Amino acid sequence: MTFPGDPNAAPFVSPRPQPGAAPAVAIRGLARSFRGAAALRGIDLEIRKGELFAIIGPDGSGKTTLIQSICAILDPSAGRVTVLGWDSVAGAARITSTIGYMSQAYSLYGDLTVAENLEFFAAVRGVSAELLAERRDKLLRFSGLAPFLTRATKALSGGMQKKLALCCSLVHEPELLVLDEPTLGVDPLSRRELWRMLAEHHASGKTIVLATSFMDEAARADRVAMLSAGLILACAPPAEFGDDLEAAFKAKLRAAPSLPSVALPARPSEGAAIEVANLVKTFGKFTAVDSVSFSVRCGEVFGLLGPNGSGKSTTIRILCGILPPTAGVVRVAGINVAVSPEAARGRIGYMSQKFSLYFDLTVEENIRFFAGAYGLEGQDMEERVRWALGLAGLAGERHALVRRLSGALRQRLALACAVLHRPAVLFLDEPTSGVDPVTRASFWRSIAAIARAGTAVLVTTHYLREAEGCDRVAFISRGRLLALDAPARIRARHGGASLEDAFVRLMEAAA
Amino acid sequence: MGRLKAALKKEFLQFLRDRMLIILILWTYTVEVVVCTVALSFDVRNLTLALHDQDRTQLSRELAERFTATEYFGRMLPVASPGEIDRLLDRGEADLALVVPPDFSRRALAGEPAEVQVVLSGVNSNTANTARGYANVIIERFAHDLLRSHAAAHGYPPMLPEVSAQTRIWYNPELRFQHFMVISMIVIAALMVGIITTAAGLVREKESGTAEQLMVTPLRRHEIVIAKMAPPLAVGLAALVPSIAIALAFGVPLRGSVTLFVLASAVTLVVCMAIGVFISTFAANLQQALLISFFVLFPVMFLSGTVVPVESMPQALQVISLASPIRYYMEIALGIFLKGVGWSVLWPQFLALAAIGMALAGWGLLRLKTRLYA
Amino acid sequence: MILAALVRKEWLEIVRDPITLGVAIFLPLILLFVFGYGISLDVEDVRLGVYDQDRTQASERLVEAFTASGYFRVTRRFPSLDEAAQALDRGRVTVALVIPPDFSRLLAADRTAPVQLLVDGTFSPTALIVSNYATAIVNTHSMALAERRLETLGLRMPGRVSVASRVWYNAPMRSVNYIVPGLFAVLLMAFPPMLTALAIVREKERGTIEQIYVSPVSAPLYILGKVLPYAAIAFVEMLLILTVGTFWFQVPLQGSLALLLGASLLYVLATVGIGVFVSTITRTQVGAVFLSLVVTLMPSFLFSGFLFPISTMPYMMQLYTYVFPARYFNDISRDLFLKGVGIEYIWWNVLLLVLYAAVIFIAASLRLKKKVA
Repeated sequence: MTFPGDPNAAPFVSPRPQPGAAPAVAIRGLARSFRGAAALRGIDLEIRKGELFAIIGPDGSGKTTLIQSICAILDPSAGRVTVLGWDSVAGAARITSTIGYMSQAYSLYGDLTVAENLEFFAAVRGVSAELLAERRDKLLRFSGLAPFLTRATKALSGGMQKKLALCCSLVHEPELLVLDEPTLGVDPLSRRELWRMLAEHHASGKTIVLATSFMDEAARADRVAMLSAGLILACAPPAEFGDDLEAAFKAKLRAAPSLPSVALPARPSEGAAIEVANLVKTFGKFTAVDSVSFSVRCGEVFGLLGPNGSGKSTTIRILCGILPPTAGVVRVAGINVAVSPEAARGRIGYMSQKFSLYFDLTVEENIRFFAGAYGLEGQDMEERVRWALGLAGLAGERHALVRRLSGALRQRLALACAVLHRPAVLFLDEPTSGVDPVTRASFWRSIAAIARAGTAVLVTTHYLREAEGCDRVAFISRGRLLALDAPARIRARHGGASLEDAFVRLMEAAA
Repeated sequence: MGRLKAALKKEFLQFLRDRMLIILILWTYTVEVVVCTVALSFDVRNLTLALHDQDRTQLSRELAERFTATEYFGRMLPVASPGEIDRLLDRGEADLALVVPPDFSRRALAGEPAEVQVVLSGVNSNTANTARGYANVIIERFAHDLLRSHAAAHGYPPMLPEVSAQTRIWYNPELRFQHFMVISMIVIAALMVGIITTAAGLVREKESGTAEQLMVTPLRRHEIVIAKMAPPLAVGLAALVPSIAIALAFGVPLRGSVTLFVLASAVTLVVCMAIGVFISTFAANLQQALLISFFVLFPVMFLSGTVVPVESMPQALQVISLASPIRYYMEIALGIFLKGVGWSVLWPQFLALAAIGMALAGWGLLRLKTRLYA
Repeated sequence: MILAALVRKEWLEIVRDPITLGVAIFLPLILLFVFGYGISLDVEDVRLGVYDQDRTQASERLVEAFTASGYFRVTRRFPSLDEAAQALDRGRVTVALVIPPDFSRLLAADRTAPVQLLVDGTFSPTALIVSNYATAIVNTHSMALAERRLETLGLRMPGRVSVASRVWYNAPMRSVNYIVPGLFAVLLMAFPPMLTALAIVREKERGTIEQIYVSPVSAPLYILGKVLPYAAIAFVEMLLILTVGTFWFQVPLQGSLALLLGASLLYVLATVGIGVFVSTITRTQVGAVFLSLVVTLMPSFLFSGFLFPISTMPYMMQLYTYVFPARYFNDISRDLFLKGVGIEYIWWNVLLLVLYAAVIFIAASLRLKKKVA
C-alpha cells in the first residue's frame, strides 16, 4: 500500500489549474511595516486555485508576515491582498471564516484532549456532527492519533501535536489551507506523516500555501517563492531552481554573512570525553531513558537522533548534571556527574534549543556575564570576550540588545557563550531548530572547527541531512538505543539513500 | 568572588533596564503612599446630628448645644417627626439622632427619671461605636452637672466628691489616622516589592530557559539568589528617602533613629524576598508566580496589623500573626516613628524578623536546589 | 452552536487547571475567613494597666467599674509610672489608669480627685473609642459617688437624666455584619476580572487566538464565550461566600434574597467585563495581572467604601470611586443585608450596574479586532 505523499509512490501530478479561473490568492504591491521597520516591501504574487505553494527564505525575511497577511489577520500598510475573491481588509470576516490556518505558534488547547480539540474546532467551523464523525475517522487514521483520543494534548509529543493541529485545520476541508512552518521541531517520521496528510488534502483539488525552512518540502510544491528582506527574489516551479533547491537557496543568498573562521586553541585530548553506561531515568512509572550506553571521544561530533519524546533532551540534561540519573554511570570529562555535578560544570558547555540568552542585555553584556559566571577575570576575560565576539561575528553589534537580533544572530551568540570557557565537552540540544539553511550550514562549520580543536560535541537535531556531517550518530527511540555508528555505515546497513530514509526505516521497524 | 560579581552586574543591568519595574517600585513607595494617606481614613468627625426635640425648652436646647459644641458634631438638623429620622438615617444623611421626650425638662429638674434617646445607624459599626461613645460622654456629663445644680437648688453644699478623668493620648495626641496610614503604606510597600520582584525575577529565568543555562555554569545557588536580591533591595532602600520625606510632610514625628528604621527595612525586604524565592519554587510560569504572590500577600498584609490592629483580632488569628514578618516590621515602624523607642524596646521584634528570615531563606534555598530548572 | 462550543472549551480548560480553579474558588473563601475574622474595629477586652498609688477600697472600686463594664481587662499592675510608660511603649497595654496617692482622701473630703488615663493613640480609630469608653466609665462612677453622698446627706433623688441608645440595622454593632456584605463586593471584583483577563491574554501569548482570528468566530461572540463561563464561576463563588457569610458568620440577610442574587448577577457581568476589557489592552499575562491589580484589586479594597468610608475622602477621590462598580454593589449589598430595603431604595445603583456591564462589553468588543497587529 502506498500513500499519495509517499516518496516511493509514483510521482504525484497535481491537477492543473483551469486557465482563466480566479486565483486563490492575489497580492498587489503588499507592504507592511512594524513601527517603522519594514517586514514586507512590495510583494506581487498570484497563487492559483489547486496549487501547492511554498514560501522559503532566511530568518526575518517576512515569511510569517506574508502568511498572516494572506489570512487577513494583518492589514497591509500598502497594497492589497485578495483571497478567494475577497479583500483582506473589507472582507476579512469572510476570509477568516472560510480558510484553514495553522500558525507557527502552539495552536491547540493543551488542557483539552485530542478528541475535544477536534470537536471544538469542528464546532467553531460549523461542521455538523455527522460530517465530523465521518471526517474524524479519516483524519485520525491518517495521523495515527486514534489511540490517543482521550489524552490531554499537552501530554503529546511535539510531532503528534503538530499532526493534531493539522487535523484541526483540515476538519472543515478548507478550499485554502495556509501553514506557517508546520513541521518545525518535528522529527522526520512525523514529518512524513504530516506530508501524507497534506498531499491527500491537496489531491482533492484544494489550495495549500506554506512557509517552510525544509528545502525538501519546498521541492514538493508546485511553485516556490523565495523571500529575502521583504521582497520576492524568485518565484518558479522548484525544477527551475536546479536539481538541488538547498544549493540554489544558498547560492541566491550568498550575501548572507558566513561565520568567520576563528582559530581555536587545541586542548589536550585523551580518551573518552563522555562515557555513559547503562543509563536509566524514570519519571514515576514512565521510563524516559532505558539502559543507554555510549561513549564520545575528544574531538568527535556525536549526533543523538530520535523522534520527539524519545529521551534525547533528558539524556543531555543528565549529562549536564541538571537531572540526576535513576541508575547507571555517567562520566563527563572524567568526572562522575551524578556524584559531583558542580565539579563538571566548569568543563562543559551547553546550548539549548531556546538559545537561552538574556534578551534585555546587550551582546557584550551577555558574553561578559557568562564569562564571569565561569570565573573568568581580568586579562583572561578581555581576551575571551574579544574571541567570542569574533566567533559570533557580532563585534560590530556588541552594544545591541539581544532582543533586537534576528534568530540567526542569537543562535551564533548562544554558541559563543556556550564555548567561552573552552569546555572539554559541548552539548547542543537542537541548536538549529527553525533556522534557515544558509545559517545552519555556517553553524555546522563552526561546530566542526570547535571539534577539531579537541572539544567533544554532542548534538541533537531533526535535520538529518545535517547529521550526515557527524562523526558518529546514535538513534534512540522510546529511551532505547537502536543503532550507533558512522552515518555512512548506518546508511549501508539499514538501506536508504539518505540518513533520513534509514531513520524512518529504523523507527518504523521499532514501532 | 568573580562569579558573584558577574552575577550582580548582570542583575543590576537587567533591573535598571526594566523601567516599568523601577517605576512600579517608586510608585508604591511614593504616589501610593500619598494617595492612600490622603484618601483613606477611619476618622469619625463632623458627624451630622438630627435633633427631634419634643420638649422645646431651655434645658433641651442646652443639651443639644453640648453636642454641637464639640468638634465631633458639625451640623445639626432639626427634625419634626420620627419618620423623618428614619429617612435621614436610611439615606445616611444623618449619623446620629437625638430624641428628647416632651416632658424632659420637667422631669429632669424635678429629679425624676428622664430618658433621652440616641438613635444611630449601626451599618458601619466603627462609626456607630464612636458616635455612641461621644453621645454617652456628653449626656453623662450633662446629667452630672444637673445633679450638682439640683443639689445646690436644694441648699446642699456645692462640694461633692468627684472623680475627674484627664485623658492623655500618647504618641498621636491629635488622633490623626494619617500618621498610622502613612507608616502602614510604607510597610506594605516593602512587602509587595520584596515578594513580587524576587518571585518574578526567578520565575522569568525559569520560563525563558536561562535558568537551565545557569545550572550548567559553576554559579552556585546562593550566588544566583544573592545577585537576584541585590537590585530590588538597593532600590527599595533608596525609595525610603522620598517616603520618609512624605511621612514628615504629613506631620508624622520621626521620634526614633532613622538608622534603626533603615536597618529594619533592609531586614524586612530580605525576609520578603525569601518569601519570593520560596514562591518561585512553586510556580512554573510568571502568571502562577503572580497569582501565588497575591495568595500570600493579602492575608499577610491584613493579618499583620497594617490595616487594623492585631489586638482587635480573635485570639487564634493573633497567634497566627506571630509568624508574619510584617507584623514585627509594623511594630518597629510605629515604635520608631510615633513612640520614639529604640533598640532596647524593639530587639525582640528584630530577633523574630531575623529568625523568620533565616528559616525561610534556608528552606527556600533547599527547595530551589531541585526546582529552579523544573 | 459556536457559542456552546466556545463555552464548553473554556469550561474544560478551567476545570483542568487546578491553580486557576483554586484561585477562583478557594482564595475568595480564604479571604472571606481572614477578613471576616481579622478585620474588626470592635473594641472589647481592652488591655488595661493600673498604677494605683492609693491602694484603698475607693481606688479599687474605680478599677472594678472598669472591669465591670465588660470592655476592659486588667492585665498589669504597675509599681511605678516609669513601668506604665514602658508597657505602653512596648504595646503591652492599650490604656494605663493612674490613680493619685490622695485619691480616697480627696473623695472623703468631698473634693475632686483627678485620675489620669494614658491611651496608646497609634491606631486612632480604636483609640478614640477606647478613650470615650474610659471617660464615660469614670463619669458614671463619679456620678454614683455624688448621688450616694447626697443620699447620706438626706437628698434622695428618684431618678436622673439617662440615655437609651437604639441602634438600627446592625443592633449588636458587630463589625462582621458590616464587613461581610462589603466583602462580597470586594471579592467578586478582585478575582474574576483578573482570571478572565488572563484567560484571553494567555491565548494571545500562546498563539491559540490566531486560530480563533482565522475562523468564523466574531469578536463579540468570542468575548461572550469567555464572559459566560467566568461569570458563571463568579456567580458560584458568590453563592459560596453568601452561604458561608450567612451560616458561618451569622450575618442575617434582612432584604430580599432574589433581589440580592439578581444584583450580583449583574455585578459579576460587569466585573468580568472589566477583565475582558483589560485583556484587549494588554499583550502579556504579566501586563494583565498588573493592570488588573491597578483597576480592580486595589480599588475594590480601598475605594469601594468596603473598609474606609467614602464620605471622609477628599472630593476628587469620591468621584474616583464611581469609576468602579464595586462601590455600587457595596451599597446594594449592605442596604439589602443590614437595612432590608426594597428596590425603591437601590434602583439607582442597580441601573448603574446595568449600564456599566453594557458599556464595558461593547467597548471590549470594539477593541478586540481579530488582527495580530
